[in-house]
Amino acid sequence: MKYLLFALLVIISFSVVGQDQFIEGVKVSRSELKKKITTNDLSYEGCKTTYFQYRDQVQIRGVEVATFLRENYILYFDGTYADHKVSIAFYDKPEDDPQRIMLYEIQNISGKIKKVSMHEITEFYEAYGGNPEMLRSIYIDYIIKKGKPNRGAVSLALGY
Amino acid sequence: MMNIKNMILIGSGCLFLYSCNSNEETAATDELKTPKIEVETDDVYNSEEYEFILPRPYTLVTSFDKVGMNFEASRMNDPANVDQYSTDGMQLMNMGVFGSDLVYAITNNQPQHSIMYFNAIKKLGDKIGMGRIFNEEELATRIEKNIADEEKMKDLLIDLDEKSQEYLENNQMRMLAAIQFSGAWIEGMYLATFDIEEKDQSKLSHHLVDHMSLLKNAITGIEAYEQRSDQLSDILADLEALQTQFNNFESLKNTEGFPELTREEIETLATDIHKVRNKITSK
Repeated sequence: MKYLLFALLVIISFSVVGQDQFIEGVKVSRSELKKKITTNDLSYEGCKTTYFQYRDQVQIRGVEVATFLRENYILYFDGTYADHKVSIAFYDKPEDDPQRIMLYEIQNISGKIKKVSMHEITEFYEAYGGNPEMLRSIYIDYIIKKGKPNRGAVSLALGY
Repeated sequence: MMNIKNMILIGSGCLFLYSCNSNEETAATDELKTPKIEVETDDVYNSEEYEFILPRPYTLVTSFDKVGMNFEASRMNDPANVDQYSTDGMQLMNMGVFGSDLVYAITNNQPQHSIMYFNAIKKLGDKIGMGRIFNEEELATRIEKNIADEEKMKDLLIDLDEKSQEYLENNQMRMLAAIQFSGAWIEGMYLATFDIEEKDQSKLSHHLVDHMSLLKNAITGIEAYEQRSDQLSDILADLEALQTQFNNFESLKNTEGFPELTREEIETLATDIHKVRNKITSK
């Protein structure tokens, strides 16, 4: 019983410290993304982190980005803090629109940093017969695969 | 027996050490832990199913550069009004309004006005409870020092905006960032819709149609704030009416390509935007 109590105390201690490290780690990864943008002679526009908890079923989190405000946005994704697979799909319309077209896809961002330009996305849109002028927002879906119930996060930073 | 006692002591020690470490942070962020605005939300570090990257005042205002915005100080919200906003929602919304005014002053090389608007934002920040963000990394001092330098201000305003959004997120008030955005959005639209007759109608129409696509996000943000005052509810109703009015414009209904608003539609839109904006900035 006493051993159990000790084990419990140690587990609680480590999980609380671990959680704190997770949040701090995400903050560091956000500033690294910012640095990556500015060292590439781009202007930094902002960053959004999507936090989630892996579950025993696939889940989706969405982020909308207004794209008309700058000539050519560059999007940086950081999946360092996603332990299990997370796919990223880009669409021209929101989730509830059955006519939406998938414009781009990143198969798995887990443990990686990826860069995508709006040019690459609109090229695809034009190929489908879309008018890039009409594309005022892109809708990004994070498809979070099944995994151990740990916390995860994907950060998206915008540059132009 | 001693061993077990020791083990319990070590285990407790682990917790104590963590709590000491955490207490230092707690003391440093005491103000952050006791926000003046109380809102019930989900776990801070568990994002909503759907989120929107909120454009900053700098981006909103400068995206109208190609249309042209002549500087006229009287068009901005009077910084003296800062004391009249008493509810949380109206304080945040006018913080957004002043944010766009500050950008308008900076990009038009008006350092005197810029400092006045920065002070108004700082004062509202204090009222809301996020006053300490201005002291982090001497942000306020750096802003005051560089207020006449647009390039440096561009970066400093990003820092200010990130800290204010981080404050709202850390204090489970993420949704309130959308209210601040709504104020910045309406002020950008307001400032862009003066001197219509002097502007290139086609360019102005294009920018207004683009920016109107952000209105739904402003509406969603205000709707999510359940503790909104009657005044904020009234503004929400006006914004919804603005959206309906816009969607019913003939130019939007009868086009397959990018819509071009008629002069009459631009004027109608401008009148409605000015009406809502004046309601936001009035007592």
